[in-house]
Amino acid sequence: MQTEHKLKNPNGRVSEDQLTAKLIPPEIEPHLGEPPLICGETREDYEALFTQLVLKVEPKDIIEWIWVKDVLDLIWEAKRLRNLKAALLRSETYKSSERILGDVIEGLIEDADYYSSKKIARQLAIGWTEKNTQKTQDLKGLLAKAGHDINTVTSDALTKKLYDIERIERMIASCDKRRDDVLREIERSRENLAKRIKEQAQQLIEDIEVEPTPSPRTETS
Amino acid sequence: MTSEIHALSNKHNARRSTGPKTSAGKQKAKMNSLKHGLAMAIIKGSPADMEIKKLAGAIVGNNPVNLEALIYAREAAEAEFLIQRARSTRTSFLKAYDIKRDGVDQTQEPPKGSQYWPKDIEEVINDIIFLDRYERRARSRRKKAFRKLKEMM
Repeated sequence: MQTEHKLKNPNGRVSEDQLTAKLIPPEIEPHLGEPPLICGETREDYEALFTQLVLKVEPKDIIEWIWVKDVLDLIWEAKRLRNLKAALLRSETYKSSERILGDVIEGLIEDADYYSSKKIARQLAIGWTEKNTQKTQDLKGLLAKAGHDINTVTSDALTKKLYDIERIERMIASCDKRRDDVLREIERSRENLAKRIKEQAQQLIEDIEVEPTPSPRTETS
Repeated sequence: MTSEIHALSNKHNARRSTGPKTSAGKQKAKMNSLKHGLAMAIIKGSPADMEIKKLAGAIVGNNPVNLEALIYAREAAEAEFLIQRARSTRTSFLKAYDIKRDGVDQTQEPPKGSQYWPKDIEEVINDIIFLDRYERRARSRRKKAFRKLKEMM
């Protein structure tokens, strides 16, 4: 297997040389499949993770390369699902804040109609997600007047999306389990190989014939 | 032990109570395997078959082989092909979700504070979970085949 790589920098970061170096043997590369990237994911990040994994595991044959690529893709997918879960919650939290605030404003302000309440609520919700200090304070103040706080908003969001969040978490758990299964296969196969080598070496040692030492009487005669 | 009459009766009843009944339903069911391609048989001589053959050859490599090893290499290659196919299908579902903005112009950004348009997330999750059983079967086949090959090599 031809590998060309340099040692990591002392700070532990993977160098650019490693990223661009051809770690995968050319006869194996076509069989490993394309990186499973979606919008917002970069090839550089994917290959950096791949490089780190390869340097740690040091695959010896095509089967181990397939396993390592599989582990990489499972780690990548789990990370993506976690991001998806976070984005889903963020999005629903925004919707919940707009909805709850809209009702609060309509209730608090005299002569406030539905549309103007919604407009104010939307502006405050956007301000909160953009971490605008003033708008966040206004939002919290309005919620407090109605006996609510930020937790009301976040728990409303979670309740609305609980079913989807649970399903995403099950998928994450499935990725993690498959990753662990594959790592166990790598370990198991290497243990078995080491055991076979040891047994064969032992057999060789037993098979070696020891040459008889000539007796002293024979030499002197 | 189930008697022969009972077994025949079970078979007859199963034919009556499972599967599509109307011609429209049967037509729809016929297309199921073509929807995502994962349940389709690998046709001999097709590009997929050639790819699997090359992978099986690469797995066997320069090791001395017998017929048994070739069979396991083919099994492993086919399973790996299906796993990769399931993975790329899953990726394409997520790409489609990212692009599709509830029928809105693709250049339009989602509302501030959100990264995705969550309305379609249920469809995406359903599709991904649906793929899972195909991948599970392929993984099990690949694991068994690789274990046998490692023992032989």
